[in-house]
Amino acid sequence: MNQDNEHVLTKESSALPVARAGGQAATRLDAVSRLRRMDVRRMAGAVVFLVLALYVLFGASAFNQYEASLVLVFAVAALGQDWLMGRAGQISLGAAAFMAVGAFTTARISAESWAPFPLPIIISAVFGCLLGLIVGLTGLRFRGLYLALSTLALQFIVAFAVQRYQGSNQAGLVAAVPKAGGFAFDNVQRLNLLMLIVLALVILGLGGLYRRAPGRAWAAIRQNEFAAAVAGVDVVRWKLLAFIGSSGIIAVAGSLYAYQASTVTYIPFSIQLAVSILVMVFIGGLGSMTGAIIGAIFVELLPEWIQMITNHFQGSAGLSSWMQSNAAELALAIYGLVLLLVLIFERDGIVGILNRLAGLGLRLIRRRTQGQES
Amino acid sequence: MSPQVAGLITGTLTTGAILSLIAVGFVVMYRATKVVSFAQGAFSLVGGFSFMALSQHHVNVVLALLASIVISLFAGALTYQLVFRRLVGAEPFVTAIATIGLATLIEACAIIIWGSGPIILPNVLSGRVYHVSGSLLVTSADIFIVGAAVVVFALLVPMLYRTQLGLRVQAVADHPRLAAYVGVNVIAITTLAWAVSAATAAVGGVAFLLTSQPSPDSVYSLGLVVFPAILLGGLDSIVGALVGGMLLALVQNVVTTYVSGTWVDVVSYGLLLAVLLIRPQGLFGSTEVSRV
Repeated sequence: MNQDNEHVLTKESSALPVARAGGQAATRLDAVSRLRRMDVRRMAGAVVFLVLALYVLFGASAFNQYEASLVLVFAVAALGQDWLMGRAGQISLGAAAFMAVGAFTTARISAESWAPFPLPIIISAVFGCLLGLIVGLTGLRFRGLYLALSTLALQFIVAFAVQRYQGSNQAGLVAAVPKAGGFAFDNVQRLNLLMLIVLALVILGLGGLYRRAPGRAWAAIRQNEFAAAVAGVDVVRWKLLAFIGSSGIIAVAGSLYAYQASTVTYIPFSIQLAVSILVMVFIGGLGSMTGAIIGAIFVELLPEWIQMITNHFQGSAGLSSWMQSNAAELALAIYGLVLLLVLIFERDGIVGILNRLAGLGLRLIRRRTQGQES
Repeated sequence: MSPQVAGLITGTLTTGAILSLIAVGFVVMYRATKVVSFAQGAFSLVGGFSFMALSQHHVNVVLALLASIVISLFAGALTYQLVFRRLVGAEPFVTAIATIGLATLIEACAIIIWGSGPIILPNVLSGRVYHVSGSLLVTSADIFIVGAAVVVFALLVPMLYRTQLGLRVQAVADHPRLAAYVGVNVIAITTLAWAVSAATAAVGGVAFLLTSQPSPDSVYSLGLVVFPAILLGGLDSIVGALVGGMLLALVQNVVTTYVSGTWVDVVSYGLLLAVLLIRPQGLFGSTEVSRV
């Protein structure tokens, strides 16, 4: 189903027991032949990440930096969601609930003297993990639809809880400015630096997991739980770990959101938010980290792009003002449509399309060079 | 009878009618296609807005309802032919996600066309209030809504359980390929299931507009709010949809009357979790719980 795991899935049965033993005995020849393609892809990813980081930190205007900060928050959330859905194959509508837990935890404790800066993020992650453990434990009983419905229940329960917690405090909870030593992340640019660091850590950590035994275990579970169990994968353990880890990461995204928005209310953490995070993962490409990030960029920047297009239609005032007043709904309609198109035509999302284009380009180049030689 | 209890009875009957109508659409679709639809609320929007547009042009209530049913029938059939026919054989969670995309698309289009404010119908019903006994008051809207639900179920249940057509639907539900071998037109049956499912959701949507002045967003949310009712009744039981809808409506109205309206969602979904843990097949559903 996805490109990154192709090599894993084709020889699951042979690789799994070996991987569980520690991986030393993995067939070395395979590893070498696999290395090239993976390395190229990873290096390309790193270069893109660096260029983006430099742009966000130094090149962008204040407004674009604000947009970028949203993209970064949701890139982290989408990576967490992709862990559970794209890797472990568990469908979840609980992302907004986990983000709410992270955001409210951070806003609540960030000003406390016993919780200096990195601690609120870490504690948010821990709370997210705990909630993920609870959901995961109930999730062990359910598969597919039933799991999706129990996470839908989680969404309604957490939304209710944070609304009660916020109570009569209409303005919302205020998150203190994070300070590391003498350095305060007190403007968008500096916050973006913080978020880029977190995003990089998440990418490196997850990449490490996916490449090793855990990644193979999750791939096996996603393909077929029963076959995985027969092949010796401890399904319960790896499923629970995916729930715990992905919930922790989404809670971290919530924590970053609290810092980014500086005030936290229950309102943004609606079922629509959960759906949009799910949509990011699908549009970008299920089971691909690049895909999750591209999905976050697409969904978060779409209203902005519509605004930009609107500016080109200044000549016809009617159309321009119509688009202006409906920008949010237009964005919703477009991403609903794109989601349908992705599901119908290219299950691997934008990453799948890019891969196809790259393959096409390579073939063209190869054909041309061959033509010149002969 | 105290006014509180009287209000509880009428409230439960009308909410129950709305929830059952939307739930039964889900069940019809799930039985025939195994698609788990998050888009029932979106079809309620299609029906509701058609009804509103027609009412604004002074079309008779019953005619407007029939016309919006026909429009939704076509909308459902079209959706299957354009989108879900291409997803046949996909994993169940792919089709479920597709219904989320579809619902988002429909809701966004509806809001672009009609705005996001409350949907206010012109005075389509007399607004007369009938005193039944003591403090039990019934409005003409209540009668219309419950009547519509009764008619839908009275048509649907015999159609599915007593006719050749119902038998064919059952065959497709059980085993599409075998059904095709014995000469059932699977595509036609599936298209029909989509159409009927959308139409019942549309009747539910119209009923919802008649009881209150909801925003498009809360009509759309009907498709999510209804899940506790569906699960309570059993995913694949028509009677279950009716009973589940009524029970959920009773719980919601009791909570609203004696506790507070803010507790409705959390209690409903608490109920859903309880059903999942204790009796995942619901009251009337078949026992096949996890599909591999």
